[in-house]
Amino acid sequence: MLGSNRVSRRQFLKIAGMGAGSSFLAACVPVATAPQGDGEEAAPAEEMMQKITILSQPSPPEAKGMLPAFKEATGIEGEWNEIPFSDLQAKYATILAGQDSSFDVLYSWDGLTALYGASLYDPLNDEIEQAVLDDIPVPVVQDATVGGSLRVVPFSVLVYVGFYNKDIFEEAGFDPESPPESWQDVFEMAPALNKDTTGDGQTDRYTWLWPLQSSNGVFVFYAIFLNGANGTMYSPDFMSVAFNSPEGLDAMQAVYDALVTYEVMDPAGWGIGTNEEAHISYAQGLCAMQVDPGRYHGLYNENEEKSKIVGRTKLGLVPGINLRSGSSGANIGYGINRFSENKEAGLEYLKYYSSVEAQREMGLTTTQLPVRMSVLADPEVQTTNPVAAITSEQANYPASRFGSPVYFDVAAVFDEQIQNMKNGDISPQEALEMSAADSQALLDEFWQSA
Amino acid sequence: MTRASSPGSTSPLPGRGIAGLSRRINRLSPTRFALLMIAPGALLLVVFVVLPILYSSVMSLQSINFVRAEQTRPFVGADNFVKALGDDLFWASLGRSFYVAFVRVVLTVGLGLFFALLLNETFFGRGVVRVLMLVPWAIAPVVGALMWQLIFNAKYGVLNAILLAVGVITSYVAWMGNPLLSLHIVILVETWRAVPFAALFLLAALQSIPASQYRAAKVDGANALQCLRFITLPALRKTILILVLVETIWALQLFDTLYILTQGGPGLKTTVLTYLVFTQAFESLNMGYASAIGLLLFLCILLSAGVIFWLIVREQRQRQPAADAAPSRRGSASFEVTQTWTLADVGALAQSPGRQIRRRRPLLMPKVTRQLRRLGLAAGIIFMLVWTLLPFVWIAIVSVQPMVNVTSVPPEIGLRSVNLEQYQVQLQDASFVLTIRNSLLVAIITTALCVAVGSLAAYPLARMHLPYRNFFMGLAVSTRMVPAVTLLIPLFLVVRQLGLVDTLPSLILVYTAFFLPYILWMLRNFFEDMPRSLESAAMVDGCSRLGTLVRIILPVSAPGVTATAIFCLIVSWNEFLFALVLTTRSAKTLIVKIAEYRGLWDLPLNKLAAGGVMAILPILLIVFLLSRQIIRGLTEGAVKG
Repeated sequence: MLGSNRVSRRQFLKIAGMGAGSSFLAACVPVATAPQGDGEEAAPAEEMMQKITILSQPSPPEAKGMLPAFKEATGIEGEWNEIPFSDLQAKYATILAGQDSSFDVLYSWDGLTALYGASLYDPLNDEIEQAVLDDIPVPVVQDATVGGSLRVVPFSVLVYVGFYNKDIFEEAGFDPESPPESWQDVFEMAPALNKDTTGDGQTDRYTWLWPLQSSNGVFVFYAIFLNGANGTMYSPDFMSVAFNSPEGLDAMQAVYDALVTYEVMDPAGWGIGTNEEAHISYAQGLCAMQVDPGRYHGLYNENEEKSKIVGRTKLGLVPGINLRSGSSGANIGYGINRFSENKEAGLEYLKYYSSVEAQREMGLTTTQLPVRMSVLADPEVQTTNPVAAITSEQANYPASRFGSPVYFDVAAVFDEQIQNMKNGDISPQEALEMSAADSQALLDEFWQSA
Repeated sequence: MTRASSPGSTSPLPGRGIAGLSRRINRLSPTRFALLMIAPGALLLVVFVVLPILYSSVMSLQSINFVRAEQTRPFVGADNFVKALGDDLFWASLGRSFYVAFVRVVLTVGLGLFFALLLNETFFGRGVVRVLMLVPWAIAPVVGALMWQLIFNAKYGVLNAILLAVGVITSYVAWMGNPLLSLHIVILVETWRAVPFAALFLLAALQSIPASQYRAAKVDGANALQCLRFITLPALRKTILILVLVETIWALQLFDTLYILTQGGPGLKTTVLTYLVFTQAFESLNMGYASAIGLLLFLCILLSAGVIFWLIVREQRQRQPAADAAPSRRGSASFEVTQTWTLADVGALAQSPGRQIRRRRPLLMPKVTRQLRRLGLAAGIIFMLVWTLLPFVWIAIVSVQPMVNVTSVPPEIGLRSVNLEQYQVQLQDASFVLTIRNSLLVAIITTALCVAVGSLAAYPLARMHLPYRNFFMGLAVSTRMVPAVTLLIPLFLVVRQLGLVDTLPSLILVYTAFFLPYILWMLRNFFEDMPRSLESAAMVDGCSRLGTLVRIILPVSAPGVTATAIFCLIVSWNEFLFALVLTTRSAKTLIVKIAEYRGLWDLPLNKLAAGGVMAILPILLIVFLLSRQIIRGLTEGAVKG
């Protein structure tokens, strides 16, 4: 209507329709990928051919901070994409189902390599120089190999080491500079390390808090003890279980003692699903020890914004059973997506990150630990990185060795049996035998159908 | 003024352009016109819902394991189903799914009714309280679950600190460490999320009960409890049954909360069927087996929904004779009975022998009663606000405090340490801002498409006599009973085939298809209530069928359409699972971005909380601005069933 400010219904609908249509069209236009928060400029069109996409877990800022150096060295731009570990499987499953080439380089750790090794990652035996592999600890290379074929190039060693709260150890009358060497030591110390802080007659501060809510957490927990007992989880070809052994029983007995007999473990762990929550508790001084990758030294010992125990943590080896030590690990590596259309450039990324120069740079400027032994032994790296020495020492003892093609199913089996054992329904011997029988059945089923 | 010719009248040859197209459409037979209107929605449903369901059904008959190097898919017949039926974990998870659903539905309906009764009272600030009550519904399930995780944490959770301070507990409790306790915490969180919708749903029905009935009952000497028993509850019976139906379908598809809070543990003791499907599909990579379990769950949901639906139909049939008979028994009616079937029945019920309201002598003086009533109302409102807002208040506090303060035992919260650093950091991050833009675009366009496509389809389904229309409507709604987790891989394959992976259109189209059954259901109910005389008058005036929808039906239904649009906006803004799988970089949404903060390296609770608050604010703002329309829309029938 002329001379009026009113908008007719028809006009309104037209405008709304046009707006919706325009928005839809705008949405259909491919959006330039956003810089990852560090002010990077979008790549020019001519460089798009020299670009790789990397799918990783959320990593410390410095890990992706090495991408500019990679670009300078190779001329290839790396685009970093992060996704939490818990969501990673969904992503990998869609890549496999759709034979998707959206990502060229895929993150991996020991368990994932064993699970996806044959189906998701390209074989790399002929691509990586033997000299590089010889400079990486043998167990780490073994974990990156599936069926005799190298699938992943490790670039950071994440062997778990022991963290000991000096205040709590001193308060309990122990020398914090001499942390426990065996699990038996820990069991004997536990009554003094545990404490009733509120005076209600109930212990509310325990020796160790480990995330036991998920099957994965329970399984890794057992693996730490198994490695400390010098046991092995599977035969090298993953055809059969190997933990049904005296060492495996020692490990299961230690699990029982830690959970029930000596009450080393904080029962709150059954309600904690992630390592991150356990980190927070240790950083708040709510438990006496923690088993974590060495890089958490920075969080616990230096970060005042997050930690109440700054300067009060002693680094040491994880206690052992039949060996001085045994640990677990999540050695990080990268593999090439089998369906990638840009494998050559992806391979350059793997080679760069495993080169001595990049590894040294990582050791000197980041909290991640390089995987190459020559770099780990570098005095300058050891001086700069406070956890390099202890991690190198820890890497001499068994770690990891628990991945398999039926990883999560076996983890669920252990979860169930260890729960039954904790509740007193079965003995450690029975828990071990039942776990072995069920796990073997899963392996048999897998190989029969493969 | 020239008008388009009426249907069936002789008109000149159709011209070109929009006018010509409109004339061509108008010349179609009613059935063809209806099919044309339904076609866009049907196409979306077929491509993004039906095809993935069929693909999933095929997978359930194959042996598919992505761990194998060679991807063969041998046909195994019913082996996957047989395996599931012989699996103890399947039966335990099934039992747990039904237990969770049952308790959640009972709690949701109970609390929803309590809140609806409170909100139906007149008190100062009722409008604000109604908006605030929507907070749990507006919060993304992932963010909500993370919030509760923070509250229930055994070591630094604020609940322990509060309970210890008031002397309820003597030392911190590991809430999530006990399987039984953690399962019930999951139910509690789910109930917290579901109650606002239930309360609004029931409030809508409550407001359709004429006040005169209560006045008449009071004259007859009925007290508040008798009014509730003899008027309110009978009038709400059908609405409650519909609510039970909807809640059961949703409760049996529980996933997000469990995924964040318990991951099926400890000891797999909180694993429900949807989570079992997820672990089999994405951890064990047994796609065939996972599909089989997903289909079995679908059958369970279908069966449960069928039973409840049968109860609703039976209820309606039983009441119809009562409603028909009611006027003849109205002679000395105590209540003024209106044309509404439920209210008619209330009259009948109130007059039936044995259900007569007995006049009792008041126990207390009217003044004391009034004061007690006020006190009760105030206590109820305070409980409602605490229940609704406490988690949100805590997440807001966490977002402005340093980590070390929040995770201290007890928490060390102080005004001096308040800072907005986490907000600033995230808003300066270009990738974070991009996800906000993506979420906004996806939510707005999805809503517009849903309303447009939904209106086109709902109109003929509501207003025209189509063969099998109820059957097709039921078919569309039943597609929402298939657990979304089962369809992730097939859906990804469809989207990939269309070349739409990591694009906003993929999310928009998928969301539109998935929300369409709900939209159809809501709009159809609303359109059905429009008087036919409006349509007839428009037609007589020369309005085309499409014109009648656009110029008459939609404007008159504006409150209902608004409520429907808000529903759509909220669910598309908060969706997580499809966005996680269908996007990688460019089209990543805000909820996926926030969920990414749960990394291996760090758990920045304050950053996560700040992200969560920012994700809630736009929805809250919209709800606040349109609260009147939402309530009115719901009240006037958009969700009345």
